[in-house]
Amino acid sequence: MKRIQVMSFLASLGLLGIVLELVRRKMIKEKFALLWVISVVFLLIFSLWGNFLELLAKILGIYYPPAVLLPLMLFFGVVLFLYFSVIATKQDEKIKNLTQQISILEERLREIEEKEQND
Amino acid sequence: MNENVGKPKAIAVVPAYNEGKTVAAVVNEIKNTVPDIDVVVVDDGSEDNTFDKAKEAGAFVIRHPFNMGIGATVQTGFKFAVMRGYDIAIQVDGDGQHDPKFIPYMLEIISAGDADVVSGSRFLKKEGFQSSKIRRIGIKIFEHVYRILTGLKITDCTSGFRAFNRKALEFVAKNYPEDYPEPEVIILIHKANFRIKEIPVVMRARQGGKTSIKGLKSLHYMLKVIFALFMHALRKVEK
Repeated sequence: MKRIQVMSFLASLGLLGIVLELVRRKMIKEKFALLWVISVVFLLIFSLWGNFLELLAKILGIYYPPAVLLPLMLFFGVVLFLYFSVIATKQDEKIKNLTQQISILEERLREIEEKEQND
Repeated sequence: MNENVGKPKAIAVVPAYNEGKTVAAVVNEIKNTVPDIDVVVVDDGSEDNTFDKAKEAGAFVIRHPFNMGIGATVQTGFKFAVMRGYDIAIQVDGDGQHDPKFIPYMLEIISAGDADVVSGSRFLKKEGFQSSKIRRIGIKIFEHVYRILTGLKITDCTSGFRAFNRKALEFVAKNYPEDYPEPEVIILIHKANFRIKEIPVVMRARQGGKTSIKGLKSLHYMLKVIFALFMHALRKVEK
């Protein structure tokens, strides 16, 4: 194994460890961690299987194999960001509905309390 | 003896953010002009005394714990109206721009079943406050966008002076856009097969508060809304 392979393997392993530890500590929910785990597994494959990059480069018609990494990273990054935007939107909608519901209930509660006081 | 029997139950929904200076007058004017309708003020987390003023004026008052924007605020009012079993809801701005004398006519149209949604337009008869020139140009552009997307002629899409019958009310209580919702609502309502009718109204220059849209923001607003309109047009609407 080349030195760069060992280093990238260790780095990927480290990242995987961090992701798993964050999930274990409940700082990332399982459903949100899945995409991270998949990304890291890909990184591991790249670092172990040195020819994979060259194979991909050949398929994509890229002459300089390491250049494959950049678009690949970008792709994963973009997918992750999109995924989080979707989650943020969903949460936004949920928070809005919750807040509206609470506000309406609070009005009702105030009304009932005022009625009780007057009785 | 009771003349209210069989009469639809109507409520005015008044969104208010820091409108402490005008909100009481708006509530009183509605109550004096149309005595048989209720008023709910939705205070969107104001920092001033909007809540107390509205309460003193005798309206139902719902208070958001923090500022959520006009769309969510109006929607809270609609949800309240649905939960309390109102047949008609009329959206009236809290800054005094809308003259309640037009409400009875709106109610009449809804009650007669001539439309599901009635929207007050200040441009059908060009009387009263006509807004800034830039905004009028924007509204004109929107008019064309609507014709392309819906075939409807909507002359005043940013109007926040609207009445909804029960079915349309239930719909907007569930589906209401955020930020600057008025233009988007038209498309949503049209796609859900509700009938919209514009009536001429005279609007006043606002008595308090500031316009939420100006300068570079208006360009951003135009782009955002046009984008949103096309997106709404592409979507399936859940009734």
